[in-house]
Amino acid sequence: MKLKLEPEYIFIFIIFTALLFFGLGNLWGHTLMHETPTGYSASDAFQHQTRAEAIKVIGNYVTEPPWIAAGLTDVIGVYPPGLYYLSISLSFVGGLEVFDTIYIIAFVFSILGAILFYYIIRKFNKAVALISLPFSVLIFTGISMIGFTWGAIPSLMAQVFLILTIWVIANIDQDFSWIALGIALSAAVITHSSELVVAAGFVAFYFIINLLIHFFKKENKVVYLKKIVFGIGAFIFISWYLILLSQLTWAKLYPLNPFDVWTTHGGYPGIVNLTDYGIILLFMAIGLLAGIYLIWKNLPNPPVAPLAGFYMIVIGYGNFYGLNYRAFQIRYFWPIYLSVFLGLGIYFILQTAAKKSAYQAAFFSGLILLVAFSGIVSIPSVPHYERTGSAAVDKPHWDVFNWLRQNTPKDAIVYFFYGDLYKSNAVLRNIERVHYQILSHSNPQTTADFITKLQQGVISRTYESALLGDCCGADYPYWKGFGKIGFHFLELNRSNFYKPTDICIMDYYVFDKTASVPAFAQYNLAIANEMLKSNHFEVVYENPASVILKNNKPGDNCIGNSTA
Amino acid sequence: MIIALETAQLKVEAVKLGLLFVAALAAFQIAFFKESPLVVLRIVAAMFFLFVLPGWCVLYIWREKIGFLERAVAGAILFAGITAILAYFSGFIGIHVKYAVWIVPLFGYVAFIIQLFSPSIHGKNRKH
Repeated sequence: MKLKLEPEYIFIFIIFTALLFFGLGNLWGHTLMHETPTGYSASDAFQHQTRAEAIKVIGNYVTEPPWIAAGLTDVIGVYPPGLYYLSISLSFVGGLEVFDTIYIIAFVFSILGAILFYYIIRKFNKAVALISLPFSVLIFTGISMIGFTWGAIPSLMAQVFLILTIWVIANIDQDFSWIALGIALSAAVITHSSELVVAAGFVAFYFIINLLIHFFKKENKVVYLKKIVFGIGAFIFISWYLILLSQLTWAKLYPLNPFDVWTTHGGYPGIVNLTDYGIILLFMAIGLLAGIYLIWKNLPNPPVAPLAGFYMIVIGYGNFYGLNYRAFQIRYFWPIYLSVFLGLGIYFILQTAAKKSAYQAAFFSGLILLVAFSGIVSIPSVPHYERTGSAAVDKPHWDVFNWLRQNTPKDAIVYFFYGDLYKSNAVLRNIERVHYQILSHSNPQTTADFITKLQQGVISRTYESALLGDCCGADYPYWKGFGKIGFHFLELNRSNFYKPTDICIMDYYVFDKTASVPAFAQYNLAIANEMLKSNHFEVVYENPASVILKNNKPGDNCIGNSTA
Repeated sequence: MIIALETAQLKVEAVKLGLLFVAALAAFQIAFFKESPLVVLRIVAAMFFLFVLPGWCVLYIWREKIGFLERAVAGAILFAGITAILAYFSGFIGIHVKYAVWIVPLFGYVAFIIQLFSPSIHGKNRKH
């Protein structure tokens, strides 16, 4: 038995370790296990964490849990749950919390996706692949990193399956590749539907190219074409239910409009642009031209990697022709998809300069690029990695959520008064109870009412409140009949979920003791004291961050109109 | 003859899998150097049990034309897809996800056994 340690393996090990170190390692301060969710910077990020947690508790995702659906019990689970199931699997087997494993899965598989793309490039040129791979470091910096910490992780994980689809296409000549194609497409749709559109588009693109070659170049491509058709058949067989759900909900609510132009990513701090890559663009431009030449030269068997690179540029600019903000999510992984052009560009120059030792030069170029892109040595105009700050839920607030989850009846209703943390209101779903919020940042009505009453010094029995849930993605869909779906959020009207609410009907209340605006916290405590005066309230939990009151007579008058 | 060659190849692949596990452990320990080695071991072992090993099993069928590491990486991603699909749909027939996560990797191992013992698949892909 002979085992040789290939330099290529060492190179891949170095890249894998570097990406893990700079990506999740730095975000998490080089620890794996945490007491509270760490690295979560937006409500969407908590949306995924809490839904995964809910599936782990309930055991399936047939319906949405009531605490994610404003108390409704018949809402269909329509959010593609692929990433959730993977993080739950790792949580059960590895023994870590879901809020940790969901990030481990997203980051580790993104790195594996980058390595798989390396192999797609390597299929036509190993030296180009070696130069290309280090560019992937840039998925963990700047705007691309925001994709991870702001809650675009299902899209990123689905893009890993998109890369798998491209890899299967690159290996379509293998036996049973059509089964792998069916699984790859199904994995994309179960993780984030919009990436299926991109993956299916690439398969169609490749199919058409082969069809044209078959007819015009008279090259026999029947086997490839058959395998692709079988692969699509396998995909439909596996995923018909998900396709049906997607068509009846997302596609109906958000139809693609080719004239829809997006230039900003609403709510997100920016978009990835080609100009972000500085001087590297020059090499990429050379690589782009080399790519066109390579595709032309290798007809009737064009290399898949440059084809995929071109395709991903076109998709990345889909914001101009109907792919809306989904196009911006594809751009998060441009450092992977477009790495082939960087590799080609540099290799083209290396080949001209050092013809005989171009491969060795490529190997060392790869290592030098890793050093440059990772920012160990900063080179002007060369984009490089910069560490992203990490946000975490503080321990006292996490203890509040845990207390509510562990000590209240399953049907208890919880009311949250003002809290700085609750701006990302999906974090509140960690209590796993139906809940209201006094000041919902997504609803100006509640904010206006709260601020007005605070300024007037009035404590009232009714406040504009938000009955929280993941309302506005799929509008709470439910089965209305065979093949018919209704939408609670549209039928019950928005005002049913955002309205003046009698706060005395709740079972538990959470008051934060401190806030960035001290008056908010003072107002919280004034309301809490007013409730305690009614004698049917008791303090059931308290820590430095918050106090929880229990209402022993929900529905009875708990507060009179008074001044704070 | 076929069995002897197969056994020899399996031995090589098993050693490579072992080395891959050690390399993954090392990479994780470097990236998460403040973490206890036991936690790192737990996570890496879990990822191997859930994705890498069953993925390698499923893609063993392509061993003639695709190298070990490429198959291991692609297999892990492919099996992650299989896990997501099977774990999700098992919920519809009443299997709690806490059981499904242990059952699903077995599909990979079963696929491996089928490859080893099915003459139609086995014979078709072997050159000898």
